[in-house]
Amino acid sequence: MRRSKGSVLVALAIAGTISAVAYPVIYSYPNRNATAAAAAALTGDTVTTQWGPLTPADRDLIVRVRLAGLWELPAGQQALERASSQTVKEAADHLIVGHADLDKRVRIIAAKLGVELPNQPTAEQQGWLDQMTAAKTEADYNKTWANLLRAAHGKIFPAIATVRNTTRNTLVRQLASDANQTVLDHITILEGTGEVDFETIANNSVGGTASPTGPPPPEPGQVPPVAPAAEPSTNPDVKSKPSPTTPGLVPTGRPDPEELNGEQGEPQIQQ
Amino acid sequence: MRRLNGSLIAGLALVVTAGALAFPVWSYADRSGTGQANMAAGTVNTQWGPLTASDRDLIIRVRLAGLWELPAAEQAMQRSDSATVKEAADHLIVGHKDLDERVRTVANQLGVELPNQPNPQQQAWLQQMSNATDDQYDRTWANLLRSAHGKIFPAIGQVRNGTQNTLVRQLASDTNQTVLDHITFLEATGEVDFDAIANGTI
Repeated sequence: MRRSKGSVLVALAIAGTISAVAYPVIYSYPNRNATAAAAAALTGDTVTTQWGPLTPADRDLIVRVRLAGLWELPAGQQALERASSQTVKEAADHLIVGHADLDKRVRIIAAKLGVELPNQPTAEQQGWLDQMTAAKTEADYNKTWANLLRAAHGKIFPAIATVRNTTRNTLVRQLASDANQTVLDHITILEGTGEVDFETIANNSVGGTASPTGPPPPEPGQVPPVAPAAEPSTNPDVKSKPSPTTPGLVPTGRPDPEELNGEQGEPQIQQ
Repeated sequence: MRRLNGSLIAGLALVVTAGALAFPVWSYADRSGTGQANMAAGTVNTQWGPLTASDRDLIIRVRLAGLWELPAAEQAMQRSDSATVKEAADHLIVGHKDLDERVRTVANQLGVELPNQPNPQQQAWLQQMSNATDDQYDRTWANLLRSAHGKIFPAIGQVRNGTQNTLVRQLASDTNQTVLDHITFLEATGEVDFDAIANGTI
């Protein structure tokens, strides 16, 4: 009896040891495939074009820019109709102008590179549109609208920068520059509504990295179906510019910052 | 007695084994569920909103960028014969002078201590530029600078998205504009090796 107790203990210890060894490898390490996926993104399904190699990460950006237009244009249009807040209307104006512009660019580039574009928002994006539509009160609507859009723009913003840095394709490089400018404009103007919950955005911005997968590569010699323009179905009165400046150019002529002076006083850290 | 010693050794061995097994789980910085805890741990409150470790990291990196890129650009103005390299150098000087003014104001307001010397890696890059022969100079210069700008660019985007601090938010927006401008002008020199940038070998 004593001996069998000992055996049970030993067996338990062995089982515990094995699972402890396996745990970090199998269960707890969420980014373990990231490196392999990144390498695959660079070489795996890369095709050669006259504008340079086109990687899955490049195609992923092209499709995401298209998808952004497909759900943000209706979202912007809805806000122009439903919201009475001036700042929400202004943000909606920027979304409509900016994404109509980006959509034009992305359709031209996708046609040249032979990338097939989606013509419907994803299920997730459709869910966001439904959430906006379902908002009952005006206050609830503004908050839901601004936060869903701000979260989506904030997620794509660093992804655009990564593609801008690493792409070897000249068309994708220019698209990434233009998208960077438009998305930063939208982030800024969405925050200008005063409705953005920064704490939630911050909490959702930490955590594991997504591995780039991207849609399948284009078939050589096959022209994908022409994607129709994503545009507002009505003709809303819009007047802002697609980007803070002329797309393709980046301004650095900002007004001078405040000089250091005594009035700014001591560092203000609250414990 | 002998038996006791044996048990003691076996016991110690078991403890060490269990500890060694637990260590990688404990030490894995990205282990799931700790991202928010890590963020909260390094955060201080300011009148402009919480200031996280990654906010401060951006502040320091913007400062460091100015510390090595200003001398790098000045050197190119003197050494390079290429008009496009000189133009890029012009942008680096104007851009980082502007950003440095901003970052110093922000750091002062937030109480963040700034370095006053480039870090050893940046000094090594400056040394590499200085040591480059005349026919290799433009290429060395443009690629070292393009690589550094490309690495910080997505990091700026992450901070711009995730920060809760209004001063850092504006700094990240301004830095995004300047860094994209510099990337674009460095590429326009025609010297950038895009394969090396994509492979991360610069």
